Amino acid sequence: MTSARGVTPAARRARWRFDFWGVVTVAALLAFLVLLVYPLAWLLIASMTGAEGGGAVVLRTYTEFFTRRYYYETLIHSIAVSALVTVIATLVGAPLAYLVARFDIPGKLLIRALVVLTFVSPPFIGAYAWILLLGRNGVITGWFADLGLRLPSIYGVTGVVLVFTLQALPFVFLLVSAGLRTVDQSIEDAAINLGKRPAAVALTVIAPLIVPSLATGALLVFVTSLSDFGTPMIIGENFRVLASQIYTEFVNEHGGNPAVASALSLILLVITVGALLWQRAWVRKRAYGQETVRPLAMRSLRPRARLAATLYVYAVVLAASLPIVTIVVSSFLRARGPLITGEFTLDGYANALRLPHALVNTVVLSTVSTILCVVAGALVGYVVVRQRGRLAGAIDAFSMVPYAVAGVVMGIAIAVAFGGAPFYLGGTAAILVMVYFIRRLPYSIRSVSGMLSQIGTQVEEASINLGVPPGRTFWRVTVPMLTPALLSGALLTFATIAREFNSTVILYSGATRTLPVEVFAQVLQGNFANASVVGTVLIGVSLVPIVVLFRFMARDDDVLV
Amino acid sequence: MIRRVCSMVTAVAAVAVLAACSDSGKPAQTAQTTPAAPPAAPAATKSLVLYASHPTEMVDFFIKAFEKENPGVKVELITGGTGDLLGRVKAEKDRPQGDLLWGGSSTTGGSAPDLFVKYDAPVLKDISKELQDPAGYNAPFDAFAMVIVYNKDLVPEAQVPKSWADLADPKWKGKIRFANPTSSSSSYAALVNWKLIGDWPFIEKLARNMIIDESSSAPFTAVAQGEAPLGVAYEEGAYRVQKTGKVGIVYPSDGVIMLPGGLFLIKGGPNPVNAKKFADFVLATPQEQALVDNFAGRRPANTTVKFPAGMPAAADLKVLPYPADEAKSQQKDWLAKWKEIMIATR
Repeated sequence: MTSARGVTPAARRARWRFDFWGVVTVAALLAFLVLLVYPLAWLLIASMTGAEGGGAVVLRTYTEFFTRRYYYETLIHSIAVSALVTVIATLVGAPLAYLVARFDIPGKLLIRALVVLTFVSPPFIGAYAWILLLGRNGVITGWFADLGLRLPSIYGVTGVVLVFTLQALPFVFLLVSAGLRTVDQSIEDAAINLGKRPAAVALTVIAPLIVPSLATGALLVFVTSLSDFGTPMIIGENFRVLASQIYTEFVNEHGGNPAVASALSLILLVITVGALLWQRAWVRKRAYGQETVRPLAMRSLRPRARLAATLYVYAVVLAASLPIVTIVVSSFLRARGPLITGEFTLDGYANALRLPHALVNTVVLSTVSTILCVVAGALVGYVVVRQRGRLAGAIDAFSMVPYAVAGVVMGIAIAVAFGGAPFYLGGTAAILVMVYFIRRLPYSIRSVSGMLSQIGTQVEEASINLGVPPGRTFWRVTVPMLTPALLSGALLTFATIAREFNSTVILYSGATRTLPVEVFAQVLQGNFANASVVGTVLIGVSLVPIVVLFRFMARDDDVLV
Repeated sequence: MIRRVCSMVTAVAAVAVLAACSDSGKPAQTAQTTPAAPPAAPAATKSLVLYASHPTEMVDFFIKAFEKENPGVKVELITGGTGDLLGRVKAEKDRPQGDLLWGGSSTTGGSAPDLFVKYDAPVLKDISKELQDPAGYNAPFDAFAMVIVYNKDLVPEAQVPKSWADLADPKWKGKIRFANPTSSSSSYAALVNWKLIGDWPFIEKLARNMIIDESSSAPFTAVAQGEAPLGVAYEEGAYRVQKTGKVGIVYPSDGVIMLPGGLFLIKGGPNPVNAKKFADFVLATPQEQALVDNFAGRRPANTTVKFPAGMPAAADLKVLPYPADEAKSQQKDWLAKWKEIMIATR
């Protein structure tokens, strides 16, 4: 009904809209229902109908969760760690972005490249890299041991917070950088003319203006940290979090317990949705409309301040990108069983038996999902912008999905909805494409609708007035105008899907094993050398599109967020 | 209005057709979801779908040998953790895609008898009596004990634990890696092992010293890497890392259990004849001998095989009888009890 009501006036003017855009509208709603609403409904049903006990167990899983420390402890851990990481990452990342954006720090291109590199690395890769570096037998630990110093253990909550924080920095950096570009220089000038010192201006005038960007960054960090179970499983030792509990309940050698996994997923869903709504309400009161005529100017620092700023920026950025360097380097080192030696070799690549298969899977699945996302994103984005009213409510809810539904939750939901009877899609390529599509489509829609709002409607109207049917007008006129946006969206989508782990590991099977899953399996089995080889290939696969994006499409890093 | 309804209907139909098309590549998905009862004499097929969680080198070795002996039969290998694969068999219950599940222990398949068919063959007369599945499902290919591994650099010779009881010494607090029995079937076997020795109070004392992993290969790997001094490992894994020269293996003097490795015929699988053939094949003397000759740390189930050097025979160890039935029927309760202990001792 929603769509029908919204379209009535338009329909009176031009009946053609039904023919093509009607199909698009219905298909979009159907996809939304089938791929999002239906699985989440199944999640709820599955959480209440355990394998044993039948209907009598409706809320038993939940009661058990909140009364047994084994379970509720993971919730406390998750929230505490994610909140802590959000705070630290914001406090470290926002000044980082500000310093780089405003002052004459040397080597900005390198800094941005390193941030982007960190941004595209798969979620848990930092965890085992830090074990290689700071583990009990780690490289850096060894150096300190030679000096007679014993470093504190990297395992447990310390390591989890460290890895999460460093992984979160690019989000904060990129979002704050983007936010700063919307601040007009005149605001700073006015504040300084009114007698404020520049440092105070940053905190009391500019910071409030970028609150929406900061809050988006914080939300992303919070949700990402809540959702990542690879990291705590690798470096957490006895420190269990909700996401890792979901995974181990769903996948274990006793056959798994979908009911418990579903219940835990719903609890995680409630938290992320709560965080999202709270963040939105909070930002709404603090958002200022601004018009940017003259972006903030770059300024010079006095030598001593410049040195301090440079040291800070490089220390943080290098720490964040160190894991990637570690992985690439160790992929070229010989392994003796699970031990990595100092000897250079290419054997790791030559002997990586399952690497080609995983690589092909990753590229094929990412390509297919990307094409679907971009095509659907273009069509739906068009409907949203050009046919106001249609789909608005559904799309608005839909656009929150990436923030509200963690990867592991989406994975479990799709698994319980489509894995078994009557679809039997468990472990197939189709189910992976489904989850990638639904997780990434909102971004595609947003990037197309953003682009379309900037292009006027005159050209399309002219085409239609000249007698070209609307469907063909879209393909012949609108799409060419959108091509740059679509192409960069496609590259970005590909890079994101290629490294998607949390939902993949729930849904894959031997035949559809992807690179991130292979890295994780190798890490869990302790084959760090093999993991590094596969990890390096994965970094390459997700980096290539980004390099193309920047190098050949002249995009800036703000397209990433 | 009617026109509008029509176009909507057309749209829905179009989407439905699209959805149907995307499914057409899959094997016939008939309305009848439960497979018909297997006919009295199932026809021979040209393939075999093997779900295996063992290291690929070993699995590939036997696949090659099997394909050589059965020309025309192509084995399709799906790898994954035992848990992943068992989950998959469970998910495919109404429409099985695999023929054999190879991995874990006799309890892996024993915990879900509705998913598998019983295995019986003449070759079983050569298989060690202790390893045969009383319920008749498992095809016992090999056996393993749970052992202690230690890092030679981190544990001085004099301090090397000799028994499970030694691991309970408070000096090892936070030094012993152990995979969580709630996700690892071999760790569950260790839990049963300890239960036989000292019941729950003993397990609690051990748990106090443990760092819990979520993968059964994590403990012995961590020990080999020097990340931990001690770990609880399944035998084959222990021998795998022993090759690094850094790892020592202890067969605890207070008793080990010998757990048969799991090999199960999936109920309603597409190639039942080849599944049975494969199980018969790997259990027979030549393959069991090849196992011993090529893969260190594998304990053959077939008694006609020359026993591997450098590995103590069951007769030389204190072997505790594995309470298979109880371990199976009580699994849920015992794991729940373990969860409580694990939390209380963190």
